[in-house]
Amino acid sequence: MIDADSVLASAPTSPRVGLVIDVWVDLFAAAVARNGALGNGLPVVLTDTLRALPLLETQGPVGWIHTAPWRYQDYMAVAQGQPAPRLRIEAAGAPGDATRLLRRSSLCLAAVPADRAPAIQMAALVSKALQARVPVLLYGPPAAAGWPAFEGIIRQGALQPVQASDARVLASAGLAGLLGDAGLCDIERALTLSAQLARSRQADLLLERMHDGRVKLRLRIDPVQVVAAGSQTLAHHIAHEGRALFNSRGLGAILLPWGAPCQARLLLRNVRARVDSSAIALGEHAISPTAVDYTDHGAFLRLAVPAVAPGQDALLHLSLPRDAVPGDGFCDIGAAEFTVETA
Amino acid sequence: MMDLSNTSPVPFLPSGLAAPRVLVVSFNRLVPADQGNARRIMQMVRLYKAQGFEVDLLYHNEEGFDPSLSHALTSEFGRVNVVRSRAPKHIQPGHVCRIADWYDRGLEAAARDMHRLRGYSVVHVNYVWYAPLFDQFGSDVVKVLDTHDIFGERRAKYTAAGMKPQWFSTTYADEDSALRRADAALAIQKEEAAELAGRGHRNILYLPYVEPALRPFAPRGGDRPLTFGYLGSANDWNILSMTEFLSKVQARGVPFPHPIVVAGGVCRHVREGAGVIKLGFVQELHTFYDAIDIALNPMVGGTGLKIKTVEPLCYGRPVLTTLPGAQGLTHLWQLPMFEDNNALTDYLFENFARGGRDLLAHLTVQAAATRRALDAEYDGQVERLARWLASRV
Repeated sequence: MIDADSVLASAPTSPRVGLVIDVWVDLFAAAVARNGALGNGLPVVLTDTLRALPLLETQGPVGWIHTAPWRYQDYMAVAQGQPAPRLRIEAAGAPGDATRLLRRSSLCLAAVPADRAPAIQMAALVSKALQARVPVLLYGPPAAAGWPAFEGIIRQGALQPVQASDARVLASAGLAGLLGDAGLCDIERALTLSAQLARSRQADLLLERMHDGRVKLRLRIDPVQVVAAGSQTLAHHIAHEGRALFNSRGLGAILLPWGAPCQARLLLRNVRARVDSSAIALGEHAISPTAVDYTDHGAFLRLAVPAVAPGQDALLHLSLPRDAVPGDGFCDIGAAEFTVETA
Repeated sequence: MMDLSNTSPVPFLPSGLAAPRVLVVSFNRLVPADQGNARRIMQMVRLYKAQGFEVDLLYHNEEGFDPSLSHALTSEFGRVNVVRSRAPKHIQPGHVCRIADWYDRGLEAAARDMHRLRGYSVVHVNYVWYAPLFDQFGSDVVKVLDTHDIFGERRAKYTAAGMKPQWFSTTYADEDSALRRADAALAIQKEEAAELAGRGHRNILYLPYVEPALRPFAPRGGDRPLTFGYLGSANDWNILSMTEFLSKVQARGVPFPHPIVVAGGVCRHVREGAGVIKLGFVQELHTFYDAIDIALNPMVGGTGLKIKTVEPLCYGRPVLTTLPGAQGLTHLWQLPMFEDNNALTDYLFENFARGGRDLLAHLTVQAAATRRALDAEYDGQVERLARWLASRV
């Protein structure tokens, strides 16, 4: 069981930077897109795990190319419409589609895999992006086993190292120029973006500079954008109702916004009994709620979520007690909030 | 016999290239396609697929959305986005509808996002009031408008028949402006294509409505009485037409010696009468067509697609129709056509009062010939459309 107070402290300071790297990538890419640097092009993320970059998605659709299969259906918001599946392409299953998407992209973000096999496949895709003159950003923990697959591309593509504390980040020349002296972890850029997103009501994002120089980031997001369906039946019900539903047996899944350790607060609606005993898991970690507040709106579940292990999907699985599940409808997540402290 | 689902793609794209994508925009509930306009749209979907396109759908939800539809649509289309309809759809005095009032700007963001994600070669919208959506796509995207009907002063056709105008009718100027936004506007009837061309449009392509043939043309055996049939929804034209036809039959004073089976929503509005059998809603079309020998289409007017005239030819049944029912098909029609319901009724009583089995065999031969003529024309027009698409994509 994970204890609330131990979550953020569980990782020593130095490796934690690697854990929150996708938060910084999301902040940077969203800022680039917000400033119009992508034109009408599409940002594309290469990954071997199921992840999301919610801040970048506030600026428009994002394409995902996977170098490993995934089993869950997740959703993007559609203006005035029902949620639609995130565009995820499995590179091995649809190589033509993957190449086509890359060639149309205006930014390629590649999360270097923890394993060599998907890294080799991803490196081939990055090579195609570079051939199509798409700006590329490679990022990951320095110890990721996938890095050797990219060394040739880094040299041939003249990718430049980017300042990102102890995470390893490399970027195409033009992109590196946009990053500036502060590199990827630019707090001023993040604060500016946060203010812009709040002003334009594109995201409910709060950034606070902490006394030790770190940043606390709190994101409130439409739960439909983080719900994940493990079956076709549930997937079609979510698309139809536009709600972050649990299935009829009280099973649900949340795609965590980033892989970083976080504090999560979820509003569970339409539950018919106490949910303190819900079974919750992230990978091999079983998680107990740190608190459950019962209100007129539903049950607010507070969770201390550890970092997503390298190579694993950012899926938080929830199983509600059977007596909490209504017989004539679905429970859903009515609100979701995630708080992360960056290094 | 043509089966579009088995048509080989026209190899207009060099092999090895990814399939081009078309975005279809529709307010119709397309699966199951149980309305004429939905069936026309699915005809186009099959056609694009046969030409090698991957087809996505932007469903402008005006006819409901549920998990089963979600499942059906995702099985049929590459990617599906669903947008709630918020079009104001004002109808001004005199039953004038402005395209600006019927067009829903709420579609634009979703269309742009889909295009960014999928990169369409063609955007295909249905009905003229969706034409402003073309503005969301650059000149590199081919814009196809399926008109389904002529809507300029459409109200006049209702007024002439003594009916209150229904649904959409606009000015010629508004319709012309919408047509000019398209690279190609599809007319469903030859006469409509000629009318639009006569109004100065040079981007009109004629593409008739034909569905795959599902039954051979062969009179059935057995002892069942010779059976006539009509299947139609409860729209004003159908109600008016069927009411007039049955009143003409009953006015003869002697009962028509063969059963007339009526099916579909129109049943609720048809009076009971000797020899009239009302089936109501039929789940599957073949159950109706298998139960009859000769289809009737006693239309007194109407606009757009004449599905009730073409549909029996998919199920191996001859059709006896008035001229308004054969509008758009007269140049191909090899079965008898009738000026009006008086002439149709005369024909029925004169030829079927005593038997008529021999005539049925003759009509079936004519129906098969009509079907072949329709298929030949359709194939020719599809080839024309394919060549045009190939030149543009």
